[in-house]
Amino acid sequence: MKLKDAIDVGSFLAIRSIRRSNKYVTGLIIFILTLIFLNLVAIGGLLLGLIRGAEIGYIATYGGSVIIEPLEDEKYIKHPDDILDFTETLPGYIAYGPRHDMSVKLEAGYKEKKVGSEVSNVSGLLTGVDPELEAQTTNFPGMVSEGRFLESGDRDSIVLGSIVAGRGDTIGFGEALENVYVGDKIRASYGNGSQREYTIVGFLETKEPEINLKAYVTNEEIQDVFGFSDPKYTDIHIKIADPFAVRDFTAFYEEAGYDKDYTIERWDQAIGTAVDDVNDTMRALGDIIGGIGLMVGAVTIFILIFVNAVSKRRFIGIMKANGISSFAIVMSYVLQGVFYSVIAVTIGMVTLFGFLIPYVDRNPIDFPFADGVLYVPLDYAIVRLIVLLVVTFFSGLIPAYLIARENTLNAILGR
Amino acid sequence: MNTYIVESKKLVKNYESGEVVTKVLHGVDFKVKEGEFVAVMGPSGSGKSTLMYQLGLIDNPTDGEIFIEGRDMVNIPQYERDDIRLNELGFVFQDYALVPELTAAENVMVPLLMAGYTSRKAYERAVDYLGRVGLGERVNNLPSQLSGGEQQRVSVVRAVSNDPKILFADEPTASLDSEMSKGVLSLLHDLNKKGQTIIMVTHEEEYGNLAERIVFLRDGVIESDRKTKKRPTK
Repeated sequence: MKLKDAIDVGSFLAIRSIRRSNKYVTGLIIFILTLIFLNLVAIGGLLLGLIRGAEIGYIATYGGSVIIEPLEDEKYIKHPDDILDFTETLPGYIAYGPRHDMSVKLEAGYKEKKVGSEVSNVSGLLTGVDPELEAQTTNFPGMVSEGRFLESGDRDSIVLGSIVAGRGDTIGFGEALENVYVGDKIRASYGNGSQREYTIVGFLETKEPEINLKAYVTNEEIQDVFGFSDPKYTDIHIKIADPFAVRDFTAFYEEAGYDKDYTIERWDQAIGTAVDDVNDTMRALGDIIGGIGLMVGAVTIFILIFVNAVSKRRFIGIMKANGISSFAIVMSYVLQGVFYSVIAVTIGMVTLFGFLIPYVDRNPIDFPFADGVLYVPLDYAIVRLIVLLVVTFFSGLIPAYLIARENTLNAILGR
Repeated sequence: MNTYIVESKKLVKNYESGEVVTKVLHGVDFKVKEGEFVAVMGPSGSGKSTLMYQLGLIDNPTDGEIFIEGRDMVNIPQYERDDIRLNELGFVFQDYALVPELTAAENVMVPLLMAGYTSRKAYERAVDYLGRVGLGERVNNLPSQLSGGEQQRVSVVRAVSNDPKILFADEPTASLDSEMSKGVLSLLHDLNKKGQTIIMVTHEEEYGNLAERIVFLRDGVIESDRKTKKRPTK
């Protein structure tokens, strides 16, 4: 009696058992296993996708993929044209948005102020932007909830983020102006003592709190307020073709030595390590939830195989009496379990990568702080696929072994 | 030189259930020559099936010795017993016990595949043997599509397809009507005529008389061992 013969017999029995089993039961087993696989992968993928969605949101609507900043001891980016000329030659480059961040005090309703009453004011961040470049880099104009965005040449116009404007959920984000509407005048007090009056031309509202926290004027206006002869920028945001291949892109700056004169920051560095921690947390949560699903799946397979084997206990006993080895019988059940799970993970993978992920990409899930996507890296899916196959293998092996190792006579006599 | 193909000496079998010990076989000495057709008879509980299970290496005796072709079968490892069951012994049971998902031919093929036959060779042999017992047209039928008599014939073919030295049949006609029973017994008789050693447990004296010898068990001991009027086939 050879191992090969036992495997041949196991395969022979398994193939025929699958082929001639009740198709509805087979379909149900495969359906359950497919759900288990999707639960194992998609729940984790959804949790990771929450963060991924937030990252995509940050890159697409606020930060870009690469952020160029001055060196630590410098206030402004020196010779911005040098690095921008270089940037425009790089493969994958799409657009850039130069900005000038500063603190200001904004006041509203000061014209209607009554004696003894407080003027609605807020101290916060104001950002100088180039409207046309910003439209190509972060699409600020597309995020206007009311009114319009700035246009090139605007000098007395201001756009307020929704939090500054007191719209939407401002809890936890500090003070906000009260009763401001598009068309109202507000006053900005700059650090150099200048005061300017602006007309609110629009409000920005996005899921990216940093955008909602700021007010926006044109870079030309900042240049004028501070009397700069040349534009001064505190940060330049670069949009590239593949935001997640950012390391390759920043490597060009390092190779050319630009990292000595500028701070070149990737989006993931700008977001900070907290995101990595959240990612790890989400991954762990996904694994816990998926692990519970996996246990349910393992028990399901165990019960299915066990019931199947118990119902054929007598046949197993008689096969053993006729010289069929326990190993061959166990193999037949294990192969059936593995067959079901291979079909299930194949359907699961096709469903996931062929339908679910593209569908959620096109129709992101609307979470309060991000548009959630289904983020399932291939290696993440493959690891879980292997885990499911291994679990199925043992879930088939253990009950089949328990039945097949039973005393042959007891199995035949059903006692 | 030992001339018996199967032999037991002082065979004892007790079943224990908790502290209760049921003594079934009380030192049975039993011998069968090659080519013999022996019927084991006796009332219920006499130990006839138990004797067959011990001789067929399906169960382990409590005490005593079993020899097949003179080889000791009690003190050999399990895998050797499995190997001997596969290659030298065949079993037919009362209710056929064909695997329901396998066709008649496939049920016969399983032990052949286990014995190392290729799938094609096993199928050819199964079809050949089934044809010999009048089931040539039914080889691709599932057990549920066969009558009881046909299923029992498949069960017999399964047991003998690997050319066992000894065929054990445990009340092979108990689930069949008299017409079907005669068909199965005729098949066993034909096999025996071709030299197959058969040990058959039966309740029916009429069927027992088809064998050359009837060993009558009562209360776990052989009460009688007599030749029938049937002319020995060898």
